[in-house]
Amino acid sequence: MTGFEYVEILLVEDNPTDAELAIRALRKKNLANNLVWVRDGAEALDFVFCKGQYQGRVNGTPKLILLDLKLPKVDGIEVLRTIKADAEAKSVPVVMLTSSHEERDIVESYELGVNSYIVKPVDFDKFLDMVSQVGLYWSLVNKVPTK
Amino acid sequence: MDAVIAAAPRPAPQKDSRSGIIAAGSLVALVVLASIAALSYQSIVSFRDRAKWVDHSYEVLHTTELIFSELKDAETAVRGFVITRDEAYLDPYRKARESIPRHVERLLSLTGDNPEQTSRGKTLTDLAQERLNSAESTLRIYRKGAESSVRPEVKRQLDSGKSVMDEVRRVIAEFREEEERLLRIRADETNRSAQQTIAVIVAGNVVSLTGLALAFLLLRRDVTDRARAQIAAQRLAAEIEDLYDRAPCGYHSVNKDGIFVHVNDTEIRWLGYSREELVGKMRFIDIVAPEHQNIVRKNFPKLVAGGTTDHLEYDLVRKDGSRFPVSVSATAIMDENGQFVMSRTTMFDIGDLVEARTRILEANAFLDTVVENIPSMIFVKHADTLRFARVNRAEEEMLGMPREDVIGKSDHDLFPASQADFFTSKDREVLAQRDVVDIQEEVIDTPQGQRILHTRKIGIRDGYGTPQYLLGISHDITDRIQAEKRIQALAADLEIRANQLEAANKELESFSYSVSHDLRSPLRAIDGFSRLMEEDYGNVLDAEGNRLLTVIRQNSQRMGQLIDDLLAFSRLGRKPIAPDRFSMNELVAEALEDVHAGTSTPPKVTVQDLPDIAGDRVLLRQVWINLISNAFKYSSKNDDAAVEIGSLPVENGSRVYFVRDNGVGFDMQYYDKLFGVFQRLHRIDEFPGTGVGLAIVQRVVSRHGGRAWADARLNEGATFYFSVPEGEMQ
Repeated sequence: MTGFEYVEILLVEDNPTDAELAIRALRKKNLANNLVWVRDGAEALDFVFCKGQYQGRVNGTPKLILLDLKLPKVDGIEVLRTIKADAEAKSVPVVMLTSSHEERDIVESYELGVNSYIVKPVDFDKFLDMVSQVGLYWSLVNKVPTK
Repeated sequence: MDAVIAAAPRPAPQKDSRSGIIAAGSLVALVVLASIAALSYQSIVSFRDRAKWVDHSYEVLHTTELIFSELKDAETAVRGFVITRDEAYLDPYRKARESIPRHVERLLSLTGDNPEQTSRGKTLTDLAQERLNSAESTLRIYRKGAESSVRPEVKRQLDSGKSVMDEVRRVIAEFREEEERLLRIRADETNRSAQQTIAVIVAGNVVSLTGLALAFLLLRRDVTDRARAQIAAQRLAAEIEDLYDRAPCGYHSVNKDGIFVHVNDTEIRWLGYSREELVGKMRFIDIVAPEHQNIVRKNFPKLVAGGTTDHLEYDLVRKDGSRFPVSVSATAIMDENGQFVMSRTTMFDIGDLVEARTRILEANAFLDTVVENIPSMIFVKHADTLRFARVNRAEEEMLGMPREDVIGKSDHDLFPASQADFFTSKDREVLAQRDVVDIQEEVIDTPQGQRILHTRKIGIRDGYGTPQYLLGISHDITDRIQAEKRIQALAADLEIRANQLEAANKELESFSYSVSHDLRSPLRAIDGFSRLMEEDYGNVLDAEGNRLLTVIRQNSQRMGQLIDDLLAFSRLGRKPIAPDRFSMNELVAEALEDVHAGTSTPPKVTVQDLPDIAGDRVLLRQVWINLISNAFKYSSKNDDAAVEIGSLPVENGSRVYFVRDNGVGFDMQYYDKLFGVFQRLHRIDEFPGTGVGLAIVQRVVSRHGGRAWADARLNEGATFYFSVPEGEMQ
């Protein structure tokens, strides 16, 4: 957490083991250098909109947000809604990274404008593979509008 | 029948004065005529008298003329004799001598009433005598024959005869003059009298003719009126006779012995007897039904005594023996001495009336049966007093008292004031508004406790619209109301339970969600960190340590699979079915492709042409996948593995599909475990699986209204069937 470096990925994940596995997976592909990990929805929004503890931060808008659905305080759906409702933040790719197979979660997320929806497999090998693919694609392959 | 016909009408009063005029006119005419007759008679008598006097005068004149003539004849005869001396010339003289005295006598008798003429008669008689005497003397002279000598004497004689004759002439002239004067007087009188008489007769006749003409005219008019009245009376009589005979009721009269005197055509027609058979021969009582004759016997003496009988009802027996009921009324006709002459009896055939009465009684009996046995309560109140006029058995039972205790009472006599006020206010409403009033719920206190009635009240009106009765029909709806309350309570309870159930479902849902999300995280952590340990510390662990890590990872992954399958299964219970028509052949091809993708050594697959069905395509796809993958899996150890997919003809409205394999099959004694969740008939190291596949098949098919079943033999393969109802789904 260098604090003033350019942020590539914002990981929103309350479960530290899941977060560790995800970060490990991303690191394997060298994608975790500029990664910020926040543990709930409120913190995520503070970060994105430079509020609360992140007021005045200067490390820019993340290139990718990996968002868990089930979060303390403000849940993932709410975070997604807020980001996609904001004229500036909505262009940031948001990928749902969740354990939920629930159809309604998938449908709702897409209605709110999610960019991708990933169900975390139990098998770590598969998980590793999936996360690294997502990280590579959205942070390196995908292009977003420049300000 | 003329005897019973009313007397001819009396002449009108004005005709009395007219007949008076006729009588007076006739009387006047008669009096006038009698007077004329008397006057005429008198006139004729006096006329005759006068005529007699005229004749008398003429006779007097005639007689004097005769005397004078005879005298002249006698003188001529004498002269003839004197000249001729022929005796033959003396015949007229002799005749005169003979007849003159007779004539003179006659003259004297004729003139006896008139002294003047009598004296002239005497003078004439004397003169006649004198002349005759003179002639005799002359004759005697000549007979002596001395003609020349007698001449002076004859000359004297002749001279004296001439003076006598002059005297006779003078007397006769006087006579004649007198008689002619009398004759003239009498003629005048007669003339005058005749004129008066004629005048009187003419006038009298005019008067009497006028009177008679008037009387005749009046009489003629009177006669015309009478004739007209008589015609009218005859017409009336005919009319009355016609009415009598053709009246729709029977008329007859009997004498004091009860024997028919008159009978009209109507009654004759009813009875079947002829008039000749009845009148004067039969008694009325003879045609009365034997058991009713005492009624006649009892009442007839009253009639004979001058009384009347009204509307006596009994049966009459026709000639042919058949009977019919009549209503009979009679009055007595009495003579001027107060003696019974005959009855005037009227009878009505009341057959229709009796039948109508019977029908009404039957209808009433029918209605009574209905009213008394209907389970609803029925009551009737008088419209004016609102007191009970009638209640039925159900009402008695509800009120707990016999109707004798209810009839005549008012609501206030029977019920608490507040209830009675309500009832009577509704009663008045019904009577005022001419409509049915429906009282959905009214509370009433009864000996069985308080009851709730559904009552309908109707006003019963007479032909003029005046309310006569108030009809009420009540239903005891206490039980229904209570049941409704229970139902409401149950419904409320049900709603609570439904809410609870919904809450439970939501809880279950969030539980599933939690399972899905939260249970997988630790597993992923176990697997993930085992992998990390393998990566980071694999080189420091021995073979057994690495094997144990692998076991940990295998089990955590299996746990993850179980959780995924379980979630999939639970989602099926919540996901609504989206029925659709689609190609079953295409669906099965897709499923086969999916299953083939995960299989290294696929069996030989035979697919029949499959009929289409309406259903949820996504769910049915899962069914095919599960069944086909099972077939592949359990036949995978057979070298000649073969799978057959097909359908059976429609049975009981359902289409049956099947998947058959020639794999390991199973023992049918474990069949009941086949479709249970997490139930497996094979060890996991024989065939992998979580035991959820067939449970999903069962659930999807049953949610389509069909069922799933299987037929198998151990080591000889298995056939799995599922049915889906034909036609549209709910």
